[in-house]
Amino acid sequence: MTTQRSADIVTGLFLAVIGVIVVIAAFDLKSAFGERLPPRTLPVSMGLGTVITGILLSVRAYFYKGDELLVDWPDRAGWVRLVVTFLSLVGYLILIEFLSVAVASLVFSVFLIYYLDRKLVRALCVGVFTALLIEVVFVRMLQLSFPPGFWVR
Amino acid sequence: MSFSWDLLIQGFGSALGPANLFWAFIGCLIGTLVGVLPGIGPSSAIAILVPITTALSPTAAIIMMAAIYYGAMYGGSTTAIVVNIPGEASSVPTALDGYELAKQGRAGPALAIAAISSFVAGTLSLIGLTFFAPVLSDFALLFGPPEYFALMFLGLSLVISLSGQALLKGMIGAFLGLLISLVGQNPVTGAARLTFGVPDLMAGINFISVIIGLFALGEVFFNVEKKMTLIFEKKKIDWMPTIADIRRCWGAMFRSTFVGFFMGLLPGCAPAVTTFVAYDLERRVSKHPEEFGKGALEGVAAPEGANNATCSGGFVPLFAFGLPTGPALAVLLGGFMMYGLQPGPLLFKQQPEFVWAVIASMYIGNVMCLILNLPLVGMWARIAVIPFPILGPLIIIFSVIGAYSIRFLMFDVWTALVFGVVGYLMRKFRFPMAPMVLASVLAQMLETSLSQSLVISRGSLSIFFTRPIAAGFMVLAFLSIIRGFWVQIKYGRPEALEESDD
Repeated sequence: MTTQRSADIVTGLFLAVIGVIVVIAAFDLKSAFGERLPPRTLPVSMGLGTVITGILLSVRAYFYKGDELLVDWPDRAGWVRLVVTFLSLVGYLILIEFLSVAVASLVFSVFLIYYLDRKLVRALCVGVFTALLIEVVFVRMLQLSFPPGFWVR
Repeated sequence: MSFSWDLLIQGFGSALGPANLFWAFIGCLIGTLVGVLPGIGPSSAIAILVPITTALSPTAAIIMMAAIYYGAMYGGSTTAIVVNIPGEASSVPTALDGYELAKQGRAGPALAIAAISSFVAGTLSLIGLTFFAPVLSDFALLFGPPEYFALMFLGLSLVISLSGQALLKGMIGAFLGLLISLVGQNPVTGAARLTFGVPDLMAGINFISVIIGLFALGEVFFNVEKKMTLIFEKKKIDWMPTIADIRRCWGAMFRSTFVGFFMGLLPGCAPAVTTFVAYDLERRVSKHPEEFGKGALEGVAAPEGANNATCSGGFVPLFAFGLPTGPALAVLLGGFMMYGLQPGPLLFKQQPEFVWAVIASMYIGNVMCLILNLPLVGMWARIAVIPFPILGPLIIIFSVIGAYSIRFLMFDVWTALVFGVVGYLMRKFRFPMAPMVLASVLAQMLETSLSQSLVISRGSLSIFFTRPIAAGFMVLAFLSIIRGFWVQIKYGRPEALEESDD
């Protein structure tokens, strides 16, 4: 999908498939109490709307004959940064459940800041400050119920 | 509730007492700081901080709670402008132009205009509350489910103008936003819907998670790929607005006051709706509508003014009938009742000094919030100067905390992550995001009011055209839709390959 045209064709078809799935799932919804607005009405309507607009997008892009516009995908280094950021975020979310939000934030921020910035001392300082801020403000002062670390359970 | 100069002056006398003044200041300060935190909106801020108020007298406690509410409204725009994290749905329109201004090195003027607009709109709407509450509360009572549905439908018609050149993609976004809100439990029957057997989906997909993902995480992914060093593109940084900046936003401040206040009177009309309506109105009346979405100061002034005006408008039915118009006011009502106070007509008869002290304190709180926020503008604006390799991970961390704070479910955080990817792809493929957000905000109220209306009318859709107020809104909505399509057909180019407005 290097051009906007091909991206629109593929996206439109993908959305149409989503819409079809929604419509099929919506037909399983049964009315139980004689509602004036049957439960499947809105999901079917929105699903059909998605199908129609998705197909329209694909068809219009398919017949488009003007100047090609390219999708601004990143270069190889950009893709690597993106994937590393995404995977580290996934790792962070998993770690929160085991290490508590403050410690997980420390680990995540030190890793990602060092990866993007290449300055270890700065990454450590920011990471420690962030972890302390979270622990003091969010956990202790505001008493928000974040997952505790494994050592508390 | 009837107005009396004596009672108002007496109220100011009480509110200007040293102790009450001090607690109003503390409430404004804490509310602003908590309001800055993404995901923690005014209702959460009040609920979290209510225990602090238990040590105070009832008057001081209620003054402090109201100040927290105000402060949170002021603070909510900060992260939307500086780092593109709209902490609540009402800050999304602010983020559309505010963050663009931050990228231009104008975060300071944007933040200052947000504070000034909030002050102007808050003060003017308080005057409306003070003098016109009895008449206005009767107006609010004229709204039933058909009127709400028609109003939400009118709000949905804003999708067309929010889509800009990318109308079809905007409509796709709106359908997706509506679909997202359908996942979970049917609000009327409670039956599971579109959950595909996944237990976590029974709780539904919270639109705040969607917003945090689309705007904050999506933006971080977008910037990470480019090896961005600083979010702002120009070397010159403006820290404060010029007189010309303020002058050009005057109209927006007054118009948004009107929109926010009158819509805020309606129970259930969320600030998110009024901010989008005010933003769209400003865009339509502007001499330079093409600037909206690219860093128009009016695009910040309008939603911020509407936000605060909605806050004051919501106090009208709360004081007049004891009817909270939204979650934050419901929490405030709980606070009132905690001290044995039942808002409603009797409260004005039995304890007028208390009510007018609270109203007077709101004027004072408005001034305090402005005095607090203007000097802080420089501090918040400096966040944009932090190198992106540091700022990006911090944005991710506070987005995660914000998403988790909504319902204390990791599911909401994973949702934000998924929509972060969706937001990244939407940017790549030039899909506007505002229509999706608007649709997901309006969806539940739209569905509930539609169901209730059809019950009233025994299934007939004519109810939306036979009741005058509902009919008026429906006509406006259809005119807006027809006009939008006509403009697209007359002036639009093939939009599949055009720049979107995001």
